[in-house]
Amino acid sequence: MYILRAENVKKYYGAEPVLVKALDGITLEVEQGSFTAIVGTSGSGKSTLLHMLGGLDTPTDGSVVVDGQELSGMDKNELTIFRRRKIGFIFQNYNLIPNLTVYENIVLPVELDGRAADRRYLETVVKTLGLNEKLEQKPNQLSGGQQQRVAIARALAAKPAIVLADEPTGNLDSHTSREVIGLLQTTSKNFHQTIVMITHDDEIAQSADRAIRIEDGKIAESRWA
Amino acid sequence: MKTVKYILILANIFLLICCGAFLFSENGGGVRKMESAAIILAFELLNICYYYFFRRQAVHLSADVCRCADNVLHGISVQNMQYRETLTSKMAAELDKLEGAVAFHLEENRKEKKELQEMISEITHQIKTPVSNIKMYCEMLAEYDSAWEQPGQFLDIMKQQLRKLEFLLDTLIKSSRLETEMINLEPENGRVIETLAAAVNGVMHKAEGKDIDISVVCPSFLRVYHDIKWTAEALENILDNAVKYTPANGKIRITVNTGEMYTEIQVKDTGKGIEAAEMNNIFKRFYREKSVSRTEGLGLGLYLAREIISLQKGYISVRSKEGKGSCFSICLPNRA
Repeated sequence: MYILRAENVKKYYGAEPVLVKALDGITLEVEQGSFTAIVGTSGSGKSTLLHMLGGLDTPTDGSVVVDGQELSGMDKNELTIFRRRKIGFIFQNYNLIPNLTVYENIVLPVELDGRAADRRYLETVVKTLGLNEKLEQKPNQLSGGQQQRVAIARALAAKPAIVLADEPTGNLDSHTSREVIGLLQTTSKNFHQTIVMITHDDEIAQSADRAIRIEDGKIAESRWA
Repeated sequence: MKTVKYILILANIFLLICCGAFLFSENGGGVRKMESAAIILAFELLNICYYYFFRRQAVHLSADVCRCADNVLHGISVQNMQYRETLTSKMAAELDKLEGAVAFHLEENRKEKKELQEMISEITHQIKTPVSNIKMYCEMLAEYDSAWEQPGQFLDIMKQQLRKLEFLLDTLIKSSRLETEMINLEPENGRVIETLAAAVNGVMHKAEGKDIDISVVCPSFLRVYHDIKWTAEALENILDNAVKYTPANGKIRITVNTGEMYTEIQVKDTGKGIEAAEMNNIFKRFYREKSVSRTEGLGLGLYLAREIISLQKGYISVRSKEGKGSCFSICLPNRA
């Protein structure tokens, strides 16, 4: 079952003499519950691709279908709600809100949607991520690895169909990186979530179900592990 | 909900009576009285309108939700109403999520069933070879002719086949017990070094036979919540593999690192390594790399190891370069 499908996605910037092809015809399918790693050098277009998949940016041409929904047909408001309900984002620099506690940060996306948090579910997420004792602290009292774990919990809080991660371990040392990735994999397996992750770390890409290499806005290699 | 409704209705009636009593009471000017009565009546009317308005809203919402549920039941997408800032849309989104989860579980079950069927056919296949070998040698022995070579040779072969059968059944029993949760893992705050020692002891003999050097780096005080017996079994399986696929005079290094969340036991060998394409398959039941089909084994060791570790909420990961050796990381959570 495909949860995500991109077909011939293109993103061009500028006009003909100085036309920049950030993405040049990318077609890809992601199976539900899988862990996909996107690798590539900086400037290869991998972040742009992730933004397209998450509805953060609109492609020049081509279509992105997430969970049966074609993104290009949606207006701005619909896209906002779509992102809130269907997508969990994890960023390199965590993007936690400094004056909210860890718990408030985690439930923010759910509360923004005007829903009550599913307490039982959150408890298990928080427990697997080892954050039970940190809930009342502020993000800046935590280490990098802990902050990223909070970000993972936040991404999972709304039970999104897909978790998109943009170099989630970019700021962490290699040992902590492995831990964070291991946690991300175990939690997503437990809660049946699909992960698409950008990384420049070949070791991490090796542990994914599938690795996609992007070069100059095109898929250079797609390997099923 | 119902009592609230009755209280509201009663309050309304009470207000009406008050209004009437006020209207027909003795004192006060006539015009003033009429004015106040009109205001009270107007409020009363508004009240009733409000009641019907919100009731209608609730009825609409529930009708919408029921329609959504029907659609979900018939497999019709409720996408078009999912991304709005309304209560109905919120419910539709939740229903859609529910449907997705149920469908996913169904699919998983189907996959599992298929795997099980494949496993059964694989098991019968694995058992068949030694059994038919034994049968053949038995028949040969029955027709034993003194002119032949010594029967001892036949017996040796039969013994070897029986050992193979025994090993196979042993592993199968272990894995099925683990899967049906007949075995309760009993995690205790044990010393990692003892578990490592037990595992290394199990493969020492084989390693010495190939002159493989096994070194262990682990702080002796380090404790972690784990089931000592089964974790040792998992480690032994991984070590056994390492010994099997490392050429003579190779090295196996075991190091233990403590992290924030997990304690990692790293097993690094200088063996043949694993092809990138095989990386995810090696943990599958009965999976054997094509290039090693000649080496003895069943393809259950790593499967069992992963099962044991994930039952303890840990995980195993592998990194490997072909021809340069593999590195298995067994990660156990620091707290129970």
